[in-house]
Amino acid sequence: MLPTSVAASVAFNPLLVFAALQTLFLFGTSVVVAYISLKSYLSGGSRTILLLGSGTLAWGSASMVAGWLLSPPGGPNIAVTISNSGSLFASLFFIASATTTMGASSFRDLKRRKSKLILAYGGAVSFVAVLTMFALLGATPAFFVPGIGSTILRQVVVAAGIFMFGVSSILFMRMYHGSRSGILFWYSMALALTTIGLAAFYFGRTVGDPIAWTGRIAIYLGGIYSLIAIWSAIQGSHGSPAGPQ
Amino acid sequence: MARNKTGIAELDEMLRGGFMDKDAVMIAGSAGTGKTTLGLEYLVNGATQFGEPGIYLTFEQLPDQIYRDAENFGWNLRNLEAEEKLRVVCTSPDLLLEPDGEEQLLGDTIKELRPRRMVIDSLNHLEMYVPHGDIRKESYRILMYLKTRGISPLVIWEAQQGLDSYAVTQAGMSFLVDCMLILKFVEIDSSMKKALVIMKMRGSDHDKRLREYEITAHGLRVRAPFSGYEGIITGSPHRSLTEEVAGAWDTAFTKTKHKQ
Repeated sequence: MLPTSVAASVAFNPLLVFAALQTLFLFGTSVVVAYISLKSYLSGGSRTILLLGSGTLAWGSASMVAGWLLSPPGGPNIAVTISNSGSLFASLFFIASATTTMGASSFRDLKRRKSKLILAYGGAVSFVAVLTMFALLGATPAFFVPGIGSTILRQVVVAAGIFMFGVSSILFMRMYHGSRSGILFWYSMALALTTIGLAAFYFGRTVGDPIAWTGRIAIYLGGIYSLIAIWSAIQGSHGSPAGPQ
Repeated sequence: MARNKTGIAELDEMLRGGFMDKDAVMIAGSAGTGKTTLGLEYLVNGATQFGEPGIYLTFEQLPDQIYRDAENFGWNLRNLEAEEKLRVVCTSPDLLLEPDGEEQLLGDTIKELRPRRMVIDSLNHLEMYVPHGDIRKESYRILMYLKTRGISPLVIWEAQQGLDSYAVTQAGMSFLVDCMLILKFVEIDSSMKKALVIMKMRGSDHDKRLREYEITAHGLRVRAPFSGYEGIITGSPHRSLTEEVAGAWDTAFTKTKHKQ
């Protein structure tokens, strides 16, 4: 691990590039996954899908907002707070999605499904909006102190997020072994890469140091893998097996 | 604005409250789609739920057949006739086509019953009795006769499967009516389903979506729209790419989990 002073001296934070990467690889991909999940939930009514879509949307929104708020007057604390709290919030949806055993709701109950969807997706986005507002107002506890580094709170939040992303990834991978569905494989890998990325953040000393970039690259790869999962769904919808052999 | 409710809640919702009063309505569809059932249900519900007596004019079936078939849906037409709420008129088209035929055939019944609704089953039978090209003129004459007497006519037209809407317009029948409902069979996911769509409704907004419907033990029941399918009207429905992907997504995450 790099000493804090060394990490700070090699930190690389091109703000616009970072914001664009966060928007493209995390928000963009999350919108695609959330949209497919939305269509899937409306037609099938699966709570697994609803939770998955909501988690993806929360993760993507928090990441994008954090990307654009990396350098406000108060320093990186706001971005770190939004990103880390958002990841913990999203991970709750993912683990709920992976563990829920509730079946689909009534086949014809489209109105209720729409209400639940608005509640879940709206709740996910609203949480990020409220979190952002509180963080900008300075009403959230400190996650990152410039010159010192991460607070205990941040370490706990990130560790919890790592645990839940990791468990979700393992559970989806377990499902993959039962079905050999490429969708499950790639989505589980996407979550695994996100877990690795968060782990890098956990061990990183400062924002934008090499370890943080390792984490970011892993998370961006996770975004790409979730798109590969969608691609597998496209292939699967045409009848070809999509699981890697 | 006055509306004639069909009594089928979902269909009335599609019609934004029901057919417009005194509008001529056409139900077009291939054999077995439930045109007669819908026509009868419209009359029975009118008589029993909305206090609107009706006449069922048929060239197709004998009264006993109609009573029997209606009984299967729980509609006792004999009782409704006894209560002066409905009249079943079984006749030959040529009687109706005679000069002043509609008055001779229906005049007395209209005076006695004061009907608000009437179903003519079907215009195809009438067509067999008129020279080629005269069906529009004769249909127009009959419909105007009914409308001027305060009756909302509903006519049934049997069209070829797959060509329903086009066959009706090709025959030049669609302009005669103010509202047109198309019933048709569609093959979806290897099973035969029934689809209903309101092709036109003059002077009113209406649901433009194709809706699934079923003929149940209690009559026709309209279900959810065929969302996510394309090409239903042309007879080769298929799910859109997004729906296909959403389906595969659901299968992967949900069906797998419930199998384990």
